[in-house]
Amino acid sequence: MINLWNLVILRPMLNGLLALAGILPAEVEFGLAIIVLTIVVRVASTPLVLRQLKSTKAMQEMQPKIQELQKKYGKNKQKIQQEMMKVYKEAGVNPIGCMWPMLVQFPIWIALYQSIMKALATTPENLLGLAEHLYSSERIAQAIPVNSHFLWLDLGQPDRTLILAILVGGTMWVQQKMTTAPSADPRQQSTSSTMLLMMPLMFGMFTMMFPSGLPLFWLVSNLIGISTQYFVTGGWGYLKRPAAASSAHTVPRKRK
Amino acid sequence: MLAPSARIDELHFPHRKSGEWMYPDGDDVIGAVVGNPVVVGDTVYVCSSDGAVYALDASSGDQEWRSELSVEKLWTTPVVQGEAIYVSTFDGHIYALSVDDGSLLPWSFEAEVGFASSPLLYGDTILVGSFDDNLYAVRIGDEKPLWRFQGGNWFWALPVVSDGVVYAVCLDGKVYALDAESGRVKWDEPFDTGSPIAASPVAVDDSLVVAAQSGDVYVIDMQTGVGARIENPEGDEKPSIDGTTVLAALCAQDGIVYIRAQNNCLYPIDVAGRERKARISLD
Repeated sequence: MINLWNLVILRPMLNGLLALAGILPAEVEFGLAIIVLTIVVRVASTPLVLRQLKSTKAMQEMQPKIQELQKKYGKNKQKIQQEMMKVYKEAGVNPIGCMWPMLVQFPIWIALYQSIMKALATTPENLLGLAEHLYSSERIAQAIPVNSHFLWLDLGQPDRTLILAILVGGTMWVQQKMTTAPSADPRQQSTSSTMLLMMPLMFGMFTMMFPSGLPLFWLVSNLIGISTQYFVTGGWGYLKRPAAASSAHTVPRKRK
Repeated sequence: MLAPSARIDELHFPHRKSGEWMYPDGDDVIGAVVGNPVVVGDTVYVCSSDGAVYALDASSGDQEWRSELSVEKLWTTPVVQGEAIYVSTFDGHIYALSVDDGSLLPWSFEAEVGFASSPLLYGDTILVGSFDDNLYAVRIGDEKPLWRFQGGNWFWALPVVSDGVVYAVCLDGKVYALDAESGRVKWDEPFDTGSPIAASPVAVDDSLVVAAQSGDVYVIDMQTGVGARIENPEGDEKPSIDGTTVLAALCAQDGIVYIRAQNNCLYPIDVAGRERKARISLD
């Protein structure tokens, strides 16, 4: 299984990353390669993202109906479930339909993460391990070892300046804020508000712990997510819109 | 010698006795030392990950000079001959430095790709592996390589040279015998271990002892290229050294080859008897 993963997903992505680094200006080769590959992967997965947005939108449009059902049947959870399934069926929506595009993208992100970490080869053992994954190519050979300096960052080391942590946390907050619909239910609203803060804070902390090549990938990914969200759903969503105490005014929530 | 990175990791240092020293002393820190230090006369030469070569007094640890090569990850082991120190770098250079003050000597060699291994000197020829799967032979003073030999992966470990033949192990799992002057293959077929070889081999009499990353150890006839695997005393189906891997260079003493495995144990191999002795724990 590991061999299949390496052969089909990891090796092509790792070698693609190194080949890109081989053709980009040497001073910024690996940082730019991470950015370009992240954009390529995000663009390639656009159909999946759009499908996910569509499914999520459909689910959210049904929320008033679902809330009505919850009020009507109270604590009878079994009945609520049955009625919900009927509603989904009538609308032709699969409740887990918005999940699978995300699941399909997940291995791609893992492979991208592994590729960045392997290519950085911060220790002799890592560099030795890199050898077994490389295609025989002059361009790839010329990229090794990658130049880990990009702007103020050493991509093989955590960024101690806090700048990257703030950028990663900030963009993640913006992306989530754009898509998090306010809820009429105070408990649900409280959970949403906590999540809205927790995730950016967590990733901000991770940024200070992981080699900065990985947070650079998160940052670019967040920026692309914000752009996609802006152009697909038409505007800044709930980032600018005043909080409305109705879930009827929902916009599609993009899942990461 | 302990790497400064060990200090960052807050590892415990032994108390120094009289005559022992540490460099750098006090709160100063240099880049991690990955390659081996080389001692010639009263001087220790060592490369550091901060891209500099250091010359230290062997008895006091005082710095004699520091030469900045402006390269990243100087992880290789330097080699000293006469008045020059030769250093191979990941950016594809072989630099020659003066042993007196570390200044760059007029000759250097530049390849199109980086060098994966440390240099090995054979007469006036430097042997070094590169990231494009080649083993380079470079004559000191020349701008072009004497020859290049293409393997199936990197030549990571130092080769062994004996009687005009270069015995080079490769991460493609094969052992190649090459004519030192021309780079032509000497054996009909390379010896294939089936597992990457990262540890430098060692020659004992007419035998070449090779340890693959899988833990299998082979004794190869240097004339014919025919070899046999050392059996594991606990069962033939197991690798010669099971449950661990071998990355460190092999060394030989009195017909016994010592292999330091990644489980921090030393495995003695009796070359003549083709058998593995009881392992020695280094903990």
